[in-house]
Amino acid sequence: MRGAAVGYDERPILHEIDFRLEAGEAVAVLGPNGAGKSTLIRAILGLAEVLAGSVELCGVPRSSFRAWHRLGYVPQSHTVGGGIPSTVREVVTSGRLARKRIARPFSAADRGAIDAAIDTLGLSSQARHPVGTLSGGQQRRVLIARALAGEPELLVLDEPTAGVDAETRTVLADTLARLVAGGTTILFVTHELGEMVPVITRTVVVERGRISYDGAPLPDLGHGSVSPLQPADCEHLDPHGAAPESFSGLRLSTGLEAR
Amino acid sequence: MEFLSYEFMQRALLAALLVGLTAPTVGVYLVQRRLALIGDGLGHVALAGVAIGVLTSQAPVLIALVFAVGGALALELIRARGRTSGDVALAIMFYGGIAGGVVIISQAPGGTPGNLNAFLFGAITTTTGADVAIFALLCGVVLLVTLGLSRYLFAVSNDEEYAIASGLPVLRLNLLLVVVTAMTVVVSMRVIGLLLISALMILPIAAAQLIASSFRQTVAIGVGIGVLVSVSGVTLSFYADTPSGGTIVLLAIGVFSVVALVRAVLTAALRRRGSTASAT
Repeated sequence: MRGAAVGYDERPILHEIDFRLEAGEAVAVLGPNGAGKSTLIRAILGLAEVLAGSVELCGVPRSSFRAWHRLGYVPQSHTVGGGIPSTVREVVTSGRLARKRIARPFSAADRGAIDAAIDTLGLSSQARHPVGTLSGGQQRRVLIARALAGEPELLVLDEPTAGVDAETRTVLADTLARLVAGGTTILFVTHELGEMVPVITRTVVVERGRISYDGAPLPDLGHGSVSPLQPADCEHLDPHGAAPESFSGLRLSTGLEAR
Repeated sequence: MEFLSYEFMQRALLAALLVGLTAPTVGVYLVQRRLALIGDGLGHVALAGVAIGVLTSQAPVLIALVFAVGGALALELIRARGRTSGDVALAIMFYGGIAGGVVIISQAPGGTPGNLNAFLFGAITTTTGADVAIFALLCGVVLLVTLGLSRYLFAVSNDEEYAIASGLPVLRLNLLLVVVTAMTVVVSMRVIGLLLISALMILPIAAAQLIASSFRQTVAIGVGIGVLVSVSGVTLSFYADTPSGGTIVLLAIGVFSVVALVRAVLTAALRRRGSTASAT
């Protein structure tokens, strides 16, 4: 993204965003509520309007980009689907469609990728269960499996750990760590780093529609959470991404001070 | 089986079979997208086409088809562009279509709004051989789209935002869905009627979703119920001398009520058994 203003209905939420994502990175986007974190990733996914500047994907302007199968997306929602019952497998299968030419039958490789995605998220025994009967955490896993079914090179997740149980957070962190080790690029918005701390290679902090920090990941502060960030938190951050020492003084949700 | 000896009944039953087969395959996506009442709006638009057909002595089915498809495309484009809400667009269709139909039919020689009753509520004696041929062709197209593109239509109706982010042709798929909805509305006009078709799109699916555990199963059970109520409704209307559309819809409501009741009783029994087991 170069000098990008991004928003909805011609109203900008993000201003003058310069952001480049390198292959193989695992980037956490942090910031207080309403700062524009989700809008940042929605700009990449084509779900928010680019009002000024430019957004390119793999070197191609977003408006001309067609290789959407290279991206996987896990939305913020905690539940899956509408009123009609649908199984885990049916939902995960829809994540494979971006790789298919329309109306072409699924191959053995397609079915294998769907099975692997279900298995990776520990959902094999529930593959034929209606998604609506699963817990909130399991439904989040279904959404992640759906994104993985397309075997994306870049996985974009919006608040993947919000409101889910500890087991799901651990499964998610392990899954993302394996994906990063395998070369997948990860970009996720979060309020809580928690179990994700060992996974991330870079942190971006968004505040009041601008990137206020972009650099080294937050240090593991030992208690697994630096959230939720408040606007005052970000005043202590070095916008040029200096060493983790610059986090000294970051106010934590627990009320503790990082040293 | 006396009724099968009448040619008009053979045609009506064939038309009932076609509409019972296709309406739920379209309705399942409309219910999932919370656009269940779009069929009503398109029925009203089609009515204006029927009235023009009667006024000009041209085939009302084909003119209704042109109107319904045009209205469907306009509705979806308005919705997609977010210029106005889907509800407002539907309201314009509802009232514009029926007002236009009533005004236009009043200009036909001997025309009164009463002439539209057979189209509004269905009348088994009105289905012609040419109608059945057109209906069969339209149903073939509808089934080709709803079954052939089922994975894509499911993905879009299940999570439209995700489908956009996946690069799926969401607008084209949505346009295709409303066009086949319009075709289904027109297919229904002789047997069920333009005002009642939404019921056959929604009620079989509403009943099916109470007992199904997958999307595919919901479609299969919904189609089974759709065929059952439409064929038996036409048969019943022959013997009871009742309008076929109303008879079919009352049967569909009956099936839904029975399924909902049985499910509620079974769920309560299972819950009671579970709480007894946990108490011991």
